Order: sequence, then C-alpha cells, then structure tokens
Amino acid sequence: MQNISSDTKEADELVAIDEVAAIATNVVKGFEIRKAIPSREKDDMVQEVIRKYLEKKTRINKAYKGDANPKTYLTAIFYRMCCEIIRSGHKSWDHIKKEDPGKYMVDLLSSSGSDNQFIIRNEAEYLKKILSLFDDEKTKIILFLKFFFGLEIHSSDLKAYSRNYKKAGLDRLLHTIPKTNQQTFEILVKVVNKHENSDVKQDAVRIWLYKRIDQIIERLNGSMNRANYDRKTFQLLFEYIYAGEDG
Amino acid sequence: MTDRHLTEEEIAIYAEAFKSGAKKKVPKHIRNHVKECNRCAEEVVAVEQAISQLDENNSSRSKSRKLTAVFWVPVAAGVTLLIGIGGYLLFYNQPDTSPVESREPVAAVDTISSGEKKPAADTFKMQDQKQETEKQEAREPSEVSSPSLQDKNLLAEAYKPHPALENLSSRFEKGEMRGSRFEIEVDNLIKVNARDTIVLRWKNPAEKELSLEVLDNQGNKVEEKTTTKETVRLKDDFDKGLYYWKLVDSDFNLLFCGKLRVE
Repeated sequence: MQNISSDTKEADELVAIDEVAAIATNVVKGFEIRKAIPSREKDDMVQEVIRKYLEKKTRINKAYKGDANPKTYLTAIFYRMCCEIIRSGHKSWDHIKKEDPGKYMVDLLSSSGSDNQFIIRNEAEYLKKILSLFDDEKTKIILFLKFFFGLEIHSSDLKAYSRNYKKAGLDRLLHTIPKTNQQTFEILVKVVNKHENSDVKQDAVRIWLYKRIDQIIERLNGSMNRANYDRKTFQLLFEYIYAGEDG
Repeated sequence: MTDRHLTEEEIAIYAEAFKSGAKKKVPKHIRNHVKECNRCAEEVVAVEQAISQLDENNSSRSKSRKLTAVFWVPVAAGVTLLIGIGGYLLFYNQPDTSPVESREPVAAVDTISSGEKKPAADTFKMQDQKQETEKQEAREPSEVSSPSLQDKNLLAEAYKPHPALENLSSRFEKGEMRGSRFEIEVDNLIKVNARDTIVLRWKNPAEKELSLEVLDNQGNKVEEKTTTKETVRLKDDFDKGLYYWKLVDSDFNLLFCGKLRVE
C-alpha cells in the first residue's frame, strides 16, 4: 500500500497535467505537419494520448531514471504512443496519400515558389539532422557523397575528414574526375586505405556507401511516409545543400 | 548496434544533447545504436523537433506577453485615468448603472491587452461615451435606471461561460491550438460596449476562403459570414453578454476561437 501511494505521488509530480496536455498537443501537431494524421483527427489523437498516459502514468514514471528532462522524456513517450495509435489499425486514414513521389520531389526542387522554397529548406534541415546522427561518420559520408555525385570538393570537406589530407595526397585523389562508377570507387577505396591505413576492397566501400545512401533515404521517408525520396530525388536534395557550398 | 531499441529516456537524452549541440556527451553505445537503427534515429529527430517547437512556442508566448504588457501598461494607466474623470463628470448624480459583476475570471494579461486596447482606432471604433449614454437613456430608460433583480439575473446568465467553448478558446489563448500558425490580430478576449462597431482582424495574404461564426454563450449561432479578406465587421446589435467567435477554413480546420464580451 505504501509503495502504491508513493508511486502515485511520484507520478503526479513528474509533469503538471496542463503541461502534459501541451506536450501531447505539440507531439500530435508534429504528426499532423508530417501528414501522418488528418487535421480533423488531431484533437481526438491528443485526447487518446492523454488517456493512455493517465492509464500508464505509474509505470511511465517508474521507468523514468531522471537522466533526461521529464518533458523531453514525456515527448518521447507520446511520440511512441502516437505511432502505436496510428499503427494499431483503429485509425486508418487511406486518403492521406502522397503525390507521385519522384515527380513531386522533382517539381518541388525545381520550383521557385516561396511555399516550395520553405518546404525545401525544411527538408534540407531535416537531411542535415539525419547526417549528424551518423556521428563520427558524418564527414566521411558527406565527402564521399560529394565525390560520388560529382560535386565540387572544398578543402574544408577534406580537412573535416582528415587533418593530414595534403600529406596523404587525398586532395589530389579527390579532385580527379572519374569517368565511370568503377573509377569512382577505385578512387574512394584508395582514399579509405590511405586515411584509415587499411586494406579494404573496392566492393566494401561500394557496399558501405550504398548502405548509407539507402539508410538516409529511409530516414528521410520515415516510417509514417513523411516523404517519398528515391536515389534520384535524394541526390537533388543533397546537391541543393552541398553544391557550391563551402563546407 | 545493441539488439534492443533505445528506451524513451535514452531517446530523450540524445534528443536533448542533439538540440543543445552536445552530442559528444551522449554515451557511445547510444550514439552507435542511432547510427545504425533507422527507427531510433527517426525518433531522436522527431523528439528533438518537438522539444524545439515547444521551446519556441513558450518563448514566443512569453515574449509577446512581455511586449504587450510593456506597451499597454502606460496606455492602460492613461485610459483608466481618462475613463475615471469622464465617468465622474458623466455619471455624477446619475442613477446607479453599475453593470452586473462578471462571474467569469479574467486573466491579468487580458485586462492589460484587451480591456485597455479598446481605444485603438484600428481595432474598435469607440463611440462617444456621453452620446451613447444619452441614446441609451432615450431608448431604454428602464435599463439605465436601476435594473430589477430579474434583469440582473438574466444579465448574469448572458455572461455565463459555455464550458466547451470556453475550453476551446482557452486552448487557443495558451497557444496549444495554433497548429496552423494562423495569425489573429485581435486579442483572445475582446471587450466592447453594446452597439460598438466590432471589427475582427487576421492575416490572410493568400486570400483563402474562411468562415466566421459567432456563437452566444449557449452555443447558438448568432452570426455567420464567409470571407477571403483579412477583416470582418460584425453586426452592431449584439445584446449584452458573452459570445464566442470561430474562424474555420474551407477544409473545416478550426483556425481560431476567441471570446467577445459585450457590456
């Protein structure tokens, strides 16, 4: 009995109920913006999230170790709850379909309308965040993708990848213009082996880079169909950010 | 990569560090997991975006409140003084015309930002108070002279808040419902005198078709308009009481719900 009341007390104190509602509304709004739910459903979704939270409050608070801010912790909890509600099948919003994926992105990226420019900037920011999550591999991925897509490589890209890039001759290698895909990977494998002092095969670099490209595309598209990128449209977005940009 | 997905708290730790640019502080095993796991990476970005948005909402709300207060406090003081002097001159020796006290609690910020905003010519055109009193006396002498207990009760009923609409309006006031980022240029609570001209304003540069509904405190529709413009002038014969107004777009998305107090 003592434990139950102490759990309840702890649960009550984690975040005030009006803040709980604000957090739930904010999380649901994110799903609405990503078109994972129709606008008309957002209030119901907020109510459902709060209902689930109240139902599981004791357990949620028990699992909280205090390493993160409680509001951020609840945000993460509510995000998963929303995914659960959407995936549960009770909510099926078939009309939320994206336009023809390739065409939509090509149109978007080639358009100069202010609304589209706003979307593109958001997508660019999103891609930068995704790349950041590759942590210590981020600079390598950006450098290799620039080379793979034939974009200009700046000294800052090389410096970010290797402090001794000049000594290792990486600048000379990466300023070569390959004529075929095979030549691209022949150069990249030399770069890897020189910088990492390793002896990997060309295939390993190709497999690694393609795996990262597919991962980035999957993350851009998200599990809730937030977008419909393919390799071509991903390349367009990447070029939008990094073509001509120093760094 | 670990077999299990990250816990919500681990996601929260990474999202916070990501937001503050202190990713290196995140334990290596969490960073390595996120590097490989698309699901957890997606969650980290989504949570980081959500907490950034929440901060943005909070800071913009407090900033706008500060600005409103800084601007309106001197104005409010001046207006209160003028109303005080005017009221004294106009109503000295007049029968008791004190309005029925509102049952509705009004937040301090509303008192500053909406109550005292009345004199702003671009929002509400105030009529000459003396002229108004004379007209009122001529038309409704019984209302100006001491109202009966029954009248007082009726008036009190007219100001009684509608629970659902009150809740809705309060959510817009707190910024919880401003998902569409629709910009309204009048206060959440508008206070006007009966027969004042009421003009509602918002931003609609794309000239989207919008529907405006005005509801009384029983939830009955008392006025409805469709517009593509950025202002709507309401009819000027509202009875005293509490009203709510809603703005809805052509997809039936509720863009705003505010209150209108006719005194």
